Amino acid sequence: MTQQSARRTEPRGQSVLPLTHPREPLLSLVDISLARNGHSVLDRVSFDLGRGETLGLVGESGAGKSTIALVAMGLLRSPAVTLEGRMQFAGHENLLAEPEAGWATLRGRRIAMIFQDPASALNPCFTIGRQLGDPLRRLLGFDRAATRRRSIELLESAGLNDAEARLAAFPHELSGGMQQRVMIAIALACNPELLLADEPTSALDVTIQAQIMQLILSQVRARNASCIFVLHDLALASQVCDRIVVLYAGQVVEAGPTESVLRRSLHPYTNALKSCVIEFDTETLTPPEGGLPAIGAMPAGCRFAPRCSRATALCTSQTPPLRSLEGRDIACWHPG
Amino acid sequence: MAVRDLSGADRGVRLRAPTLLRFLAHQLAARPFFVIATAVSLAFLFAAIFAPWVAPYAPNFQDSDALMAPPSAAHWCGTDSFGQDLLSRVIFGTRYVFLIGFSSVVIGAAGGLAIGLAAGLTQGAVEWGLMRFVDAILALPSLIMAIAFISILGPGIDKVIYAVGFAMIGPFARTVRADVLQVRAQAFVEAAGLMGVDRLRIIWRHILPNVIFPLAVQATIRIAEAILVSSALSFLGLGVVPPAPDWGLMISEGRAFISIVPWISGVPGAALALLLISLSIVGDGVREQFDPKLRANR
Amino acid sequence: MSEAAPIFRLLDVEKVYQIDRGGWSRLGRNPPRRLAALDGIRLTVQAGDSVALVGESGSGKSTLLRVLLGLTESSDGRALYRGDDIETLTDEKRRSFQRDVAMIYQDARASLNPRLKTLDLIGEPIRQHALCPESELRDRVAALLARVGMPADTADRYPGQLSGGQVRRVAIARALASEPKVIVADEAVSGLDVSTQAQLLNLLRGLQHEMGLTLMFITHDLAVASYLCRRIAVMYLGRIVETGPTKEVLRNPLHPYTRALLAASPRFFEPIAETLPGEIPSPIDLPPGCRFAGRCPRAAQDCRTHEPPLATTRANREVACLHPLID
Repeated sequence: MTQQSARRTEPRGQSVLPLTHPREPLLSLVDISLARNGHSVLDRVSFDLGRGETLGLVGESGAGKSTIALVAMGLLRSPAVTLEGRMQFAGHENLLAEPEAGWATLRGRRIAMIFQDPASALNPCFTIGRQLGDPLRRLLGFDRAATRRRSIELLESAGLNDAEARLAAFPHELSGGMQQRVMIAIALACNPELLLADEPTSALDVTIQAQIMQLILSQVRARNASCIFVLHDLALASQVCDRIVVLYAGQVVEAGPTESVLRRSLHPYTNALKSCVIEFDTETLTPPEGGLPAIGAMPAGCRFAPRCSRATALCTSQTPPLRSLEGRDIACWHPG
Repeated sequence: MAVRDLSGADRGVRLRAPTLLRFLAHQLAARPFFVIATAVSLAFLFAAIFAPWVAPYAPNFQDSDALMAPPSAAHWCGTDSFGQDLLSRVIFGTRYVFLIGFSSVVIGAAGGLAIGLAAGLTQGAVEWGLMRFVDAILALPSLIMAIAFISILGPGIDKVIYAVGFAMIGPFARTVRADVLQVRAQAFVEAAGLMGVDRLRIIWRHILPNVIFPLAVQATIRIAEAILVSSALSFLGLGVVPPAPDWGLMISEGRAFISIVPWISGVPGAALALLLISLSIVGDGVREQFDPKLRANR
Repeated sequence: MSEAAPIFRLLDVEKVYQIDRGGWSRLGRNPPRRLAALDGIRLTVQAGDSVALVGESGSGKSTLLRVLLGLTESSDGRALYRGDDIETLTDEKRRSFQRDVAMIYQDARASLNPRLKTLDLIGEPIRQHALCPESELRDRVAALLARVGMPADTADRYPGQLSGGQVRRVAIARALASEPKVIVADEAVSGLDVSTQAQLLNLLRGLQHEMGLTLMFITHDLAVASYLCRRIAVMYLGRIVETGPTKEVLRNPLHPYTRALLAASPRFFEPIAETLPGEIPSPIDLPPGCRFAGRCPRAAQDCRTHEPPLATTRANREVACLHPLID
C-alpha cells in the first residue's frame, strides 16, 4: 500500500509489478469477441486488472477501446450485437451472462464510468445536486439530509469550491472542467471498486487536463480502487497507467506493464504509434501508410499486416495468438 | 454471315429481371406497408392517367334503367341518383384529385420557397414583415382560408387550386425559412464567401440545393392534406361544380340518401380514405428514407 | 528578410462584444458587460513565415483568425494585409485577397457542401477566379488530389462517402486550388488519430516548403506547433503574451503561462506536473492589471494594477510580463 503511494511521486523509473498478470485480478476479460450486424468489432480481447491498478486501453479511433469499456459496464446489449467471451469480476464467474437485473446492482455501486464529454453526459434538465444525489439515494439508501451532506463532501473532494451553491446549479452554468469534476464525483459517490474513464480529458483545455487527471488518480488511489483509462494519447498513458493494452482493429496487439511496453515496444504497431507522437524535438515523423481497415473489410490473419513492414505470408493467413514474451503479452509472428 | 454475340446482352437482360424482383421482394419484406401504400397510390395514379380506357362507362353517362342501383355485375360499385356508374366516376375523379393535389402543392411550395428564402436570407424589417404575413396565413385553418378565397374568386377547379395552394404557402414558408437559417450558418457557406463567391451564386449553389430537398419531402407529405382540403371544399359545394365527378362532390350528392343507398357516398368516401392513407404512408416513408436527420446519410 | 513587406500586420486590434444583461436591465443604468475577445493585439507576419497561434478556450485565437480573414470587423485598431486595411479593400484588391488567402476549417466536413461532388468542391475556387478553362478543370483537380495523396477518382465522390482523414485532405486540396500565398488553418489536425495527424502534418509541412506559403496555424497542441511552425504566438484571454521562434520559446519560455502550458502537455514517463490552479477565468469584465495574475504563481503587487505591454526582450522575442522568467 505505502509502496504504491510512494511510487506516484517519482518519475516512472521503477516498476513494481514484475509479472505480466496481477496475482489476484479484480477484473478478468477472457476472449471477448463482439460483432455488430455481422461485422467483427472486437476479436478475442483478453486482459486482467488487479486491485488498485490503473490500466490504459490505447489505440486509434475504431480500435474498439470505448466498446470494451461499454462491454465492461454491460451497456452493449442489443439484438444487433453478438457478444462472446467471459468477464470475471469480483466473485462473478461471467458477468456477461448476467441478466440486466444483476447488472443494475453493480452499476454505479461497484463499477462506474466517466465519459468523454461531460456536457452531454450530464442531464441538462436536472441540477447538480439532483444528479449527484441520485446514486446516493437509490444505491446507498441515504435520506435527504445525509444525501446533502455527502454531496457537499463529494463536490469538495472533487475540487469544487462553493459546493453548496453548486448543488443548485445546472450543468450548463459550469465550465467544462467543473462539469467533469461533477461527473467524477457522481461516479465515485458509492465508492466503486472499478472506475472506467473514457477519454476523460479529451474535451478539456490542456491546463485543466492535468488537474482532472490528477484528481482522478488521487481519488482512485484513496479508495484503493482500480481504474481503466481509455486513451488515445500514449504520452498521457505513460504518465498515469501502471499497465497498458494496445489495441488495433479490435485485437489486442501488445499488453503489459507500461514501462516495458512503451520503452521497449515489440509490436510493429506499438512502434508505429510511438513514432507518430510528436515531441518538442521531433525532426521528422514517419507515420504508417493508410488507415485502420473498415469495419466490414477486416483482413484475414493479422489485421495490421497490410500496413506492416515486417509482414510475411504467415501474417496474412493466420492471426497470431497472444503469448508472453519479455514480460508482456504480444500478438505478433515477428516481434522485436 | 457474322454471328452476333448476343450472349452478353442476353445475360444482361436475364440478370436484370431477377435483380429487380429481388429488390422488390426485399423492400416488401423490410417495409411492407410502404410498398403496399406505394402500389395503391400508383394504382390510383394509373387510373387517373388512363381513365378513359380503364373506366367501364363515361362519367356522365346516365343509365336510366339503373338509378340508385346497388353493386351488380353491370355496375361494380352501383349507381347514383342519376344512374351514373360510381366506379367510373371514382376513376375519373382521380384526375381531379391528382390535378388539384399536385397543382396546389406546387403553388404552395413555390410560394413558400420564395417567401422562406427571402425571410431566411434577409434580416430586420423585411424578415419580420414576411414572417408576420406567414403567421397570418397560418393562423387560419387551410379550409377556412380556402373558403374565403372561393367566396371571393368564385367556383371552378382553377380557383380551388389557387385557394388551396395559397393556404399551403404558410407551412412551407416556415419550414423553408428554418432550413435556410440552418444552412446559412454552416461552415461551407462561409467558406464560399471567403473564396469570393458572390451572394447570388452562394444562394444558388449552396443554400438552395440544401433547402430544396427537405422541401420536396415536405411536399410529398402535404399532397394528402391538399386533397383533403379540396374534397372538403367540393363537399361544401364550393369549388368544383356538378356534374364533375369530384369525390367530395359525390359524397355530398349522396348525403341525402345515406341511410337507404349508402354506396353513393360510401364508394367515393372509401376511395378518398384509401388514397389519403396510402399517400400519408408514402410521405412518411419518403421522409424516413431521405431526411438526413432521421438516418445516417451514407 | 526585412525588406519583404509583411503579409499581415495587426496594430492594436481590439474586438469587444457588449453583452446585454438582458431583460429589465435594459431599462436600468447598469452598463452592458464587456467581453474583450481581442485586446491590443500586435502581430506581424512576414511572407513565407509559419506562425502558430496557441491558446486555450477564451484566448481569442479564433476571433483573431476571423479578423485576419475579414470575417469579423475589429472594434478598434487596424488589420493590414500587405499594407492595406482589410476592412476597406478595393474590389480588385479584395479579389486578390480572396484568392491569396485560403482557410482550412476545424470541422472540415462542415466546410464542404454535402451535396456537391469533390470535383465541384475543389473546383469552386478555380472556377471563381477563372484559373483555367473548364475543359482542364478535371485534370487540375486530379493534380491537386494527387498532391494531397488522394486518388483521382475521389473527384466523383461526395463528402459523405469519405472518411474523416480523407475529408481533411479534400479541404486542404481546396485550399490549395486557388494557388494561395497564405494558408490559414484553424485546428486543422486536432481530433484526428495520431497516424492521420502525422500524415497531414507532413503534408502541410511539405507543401509549405515546396510552395513557400505563409502559414498561420491555430492549435492548442504545442508539439504540433513546434513541428510545423517556425514562430509561435501564445495567447491568453485575448492578448498575445509571448512570441518568438518556436523551438526557443518552448525550450526557454519567458512567460509563466507558456511555462504552464508546457508543463501541462503530457510527456513520456514524466509524472503529471504541478498544474495551474483554478479555471480559465471568464473574459467578461476582466479586473485591471495582468489578466494572468489570478493564476500566476509569480504574481506580484504591480501585476494586479499594471497591464504589461508586449515588449521585445531580445532579438525576435516578445513577452507581455512585468516579471518574465529568466533562463
